[in-house]
Amino acid sequence: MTLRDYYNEAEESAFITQTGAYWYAQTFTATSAYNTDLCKIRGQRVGTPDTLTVGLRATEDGVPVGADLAVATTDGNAVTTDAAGEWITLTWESVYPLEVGTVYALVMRVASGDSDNRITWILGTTTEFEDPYAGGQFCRSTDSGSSWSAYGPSTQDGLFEVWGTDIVVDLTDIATVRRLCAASNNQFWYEDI
Amino acid sequence: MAQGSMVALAASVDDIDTTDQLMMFEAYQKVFVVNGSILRVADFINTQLSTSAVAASASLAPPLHGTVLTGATSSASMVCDVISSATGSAYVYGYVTSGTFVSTDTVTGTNATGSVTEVSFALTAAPTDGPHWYSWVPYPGGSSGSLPEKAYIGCLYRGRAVLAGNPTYPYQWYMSRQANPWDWAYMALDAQSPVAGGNADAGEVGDIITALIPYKDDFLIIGCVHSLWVLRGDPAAGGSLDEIDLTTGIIGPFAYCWDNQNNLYFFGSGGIYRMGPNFAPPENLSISAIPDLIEDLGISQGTHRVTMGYDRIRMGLLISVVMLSDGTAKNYWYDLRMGGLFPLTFGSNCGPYSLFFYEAQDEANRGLLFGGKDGYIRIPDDDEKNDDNGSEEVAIDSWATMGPIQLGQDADRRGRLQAMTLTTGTDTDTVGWELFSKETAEEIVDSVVAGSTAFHSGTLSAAGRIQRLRPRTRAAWLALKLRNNTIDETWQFEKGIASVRPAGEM
Repeated sequence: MTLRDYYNEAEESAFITQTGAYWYAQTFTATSAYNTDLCKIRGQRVGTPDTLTVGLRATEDGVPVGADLAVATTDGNAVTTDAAGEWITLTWESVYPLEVGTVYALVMRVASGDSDNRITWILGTTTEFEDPYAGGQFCRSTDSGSSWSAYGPSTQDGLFEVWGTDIVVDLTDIATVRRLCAASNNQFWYEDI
Repeated sequence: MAQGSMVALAASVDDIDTTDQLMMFEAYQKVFVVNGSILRVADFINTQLSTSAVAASASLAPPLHGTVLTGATSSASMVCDVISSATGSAYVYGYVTSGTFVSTDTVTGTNATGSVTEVSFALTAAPTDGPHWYSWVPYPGGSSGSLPEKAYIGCLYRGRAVLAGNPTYPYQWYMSRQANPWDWAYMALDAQSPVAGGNADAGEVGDIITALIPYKDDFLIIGCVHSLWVLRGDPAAGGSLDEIDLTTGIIGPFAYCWDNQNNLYFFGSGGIYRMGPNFAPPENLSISAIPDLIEDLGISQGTHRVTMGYDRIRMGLLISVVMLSDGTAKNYWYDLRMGGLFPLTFGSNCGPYSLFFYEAQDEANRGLLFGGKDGYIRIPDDDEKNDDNGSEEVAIDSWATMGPIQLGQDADRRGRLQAMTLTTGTDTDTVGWELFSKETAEEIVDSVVAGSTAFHSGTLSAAGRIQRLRPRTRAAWLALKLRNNTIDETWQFEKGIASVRPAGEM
């Protein structure tokens, strides 16, 4: 398993709180076709937020759409409280094949969170005020993921990593037969191999 | 059945006429047979279901192409491809995606279109695996148009079955719906619609169609008697029909082949042509070596069949002109490495009616296959010294002529041949040599072609370097002919060195 798509080195950082009906997402473009096994987000805990959930979703017009294609959960109470945060590993319940060039979204939520018990997503910005990750944008939903819009300036994106493995086509179920066919003596002839 | 052995599809016996022109092309894991009014399908992929009532009541419909069918007892499912009848007893052919149907199954499904969409029929026999043999007709049910009454030319292009060679409308081409060779209802006004020349924006060609030559999904070359046309893209989705050349056509549906550089070779009105990628003007390859090739061969479309094949192993083209009445053939080998055109002869039983490069999985069967008059398929074999001619082995009559060679220092002087050293290859059995000398180059060529008696001749019967020969002569021009026409023999020639001295003015 190798790191495939990512924005994981920020020149400066900001924080977005994940709580209640306010969900946040970072979209990304799959730069190759691969099976994703897990993702990582850079986060920090406040209080006891309990379960942290991240879903992989498709996108439309640059924002998440539809249900989770894959989902991963972890114990939010185990996340560091250090201000610099840490890489939180979330393993998908089942691997999901990503198609090259397609834009997906990592949707994070803390169902039981509140202002005292939350996970913050660490965002990255650049000193040059450029878009730090051109393959996607940061998004927000205020209605638990029903509707989405781009959120914040384009100069900041959520820190994330998507890990995966090459898609291996199982050829054992594919049988090919090359036949020679001919017409002769008013009959159709064929060779089976 | 072992690889390399062929069997007849029992249902096809006497159902096609191989004395008439016949073409076949592969599509959707089936073979479509185009044989005049005989249009058939050899189906290698589908399973056959049998029923005595494919739509037993007015509230039921026969399955459509693409309908998913499920067996109630077996839970097996298939995707319906085609049916033999829309009413009463019928065979339903489809690709089984899961399970195995059983004879007690009631098969159900739901058609995507139609006023009645429910499908349900009971099987009357166990399902049958392929290969199957059935008539190629429009999808039964009355809304799939009609195939041409006769067709002699066919191919697959952009997922469409393409037909031409209808004697009633020889300039017309016909295409089925994309991905559905059973739909011939032209002008359905969608991008995959069945389409014919007379009904398309691209239009008909104004010449009699003799060949259809698809190139991937990019374009379809339509060869005619006196002209070449190209159909770019899809005729139902903005495709265009343009002329490539109005000075030469293609002599028949098999008179072309491609090489591995995307060059198209074809036998046209003036000989053998090569057309490079991107529709470069056709170049006549035979005009300099054999200016009157068509006249020399006496080719007529009614009496001869011209086939061409690209041999990727030997890097050349075989061009075969077979007399339909007796199978006698005149053949040429065009060597792509040297650019030379060499005549070839085979026994009368193995004149190639068909040429096809077979990329067999077994290397022993891989190569350019010759379909012979006697019904056998033959393959070139480097280890053989004779040609197979059915019940007998025949010697390969092979020869090469070097010359005319000028012996004098210039055209006004003679030379004296003092000695000659010939070196044969190590696999040589024997090879005869003949020397011709004349005062002009034309006389030399005439003597060789006429088979005149040489002034010196002999036989080399050893491999490797030969002792010096002393066939002395004084002349302006010289030619050396090497030949072998003996059973179980072969030969190679490495080099020849001659010792020549000036012999005065002419």
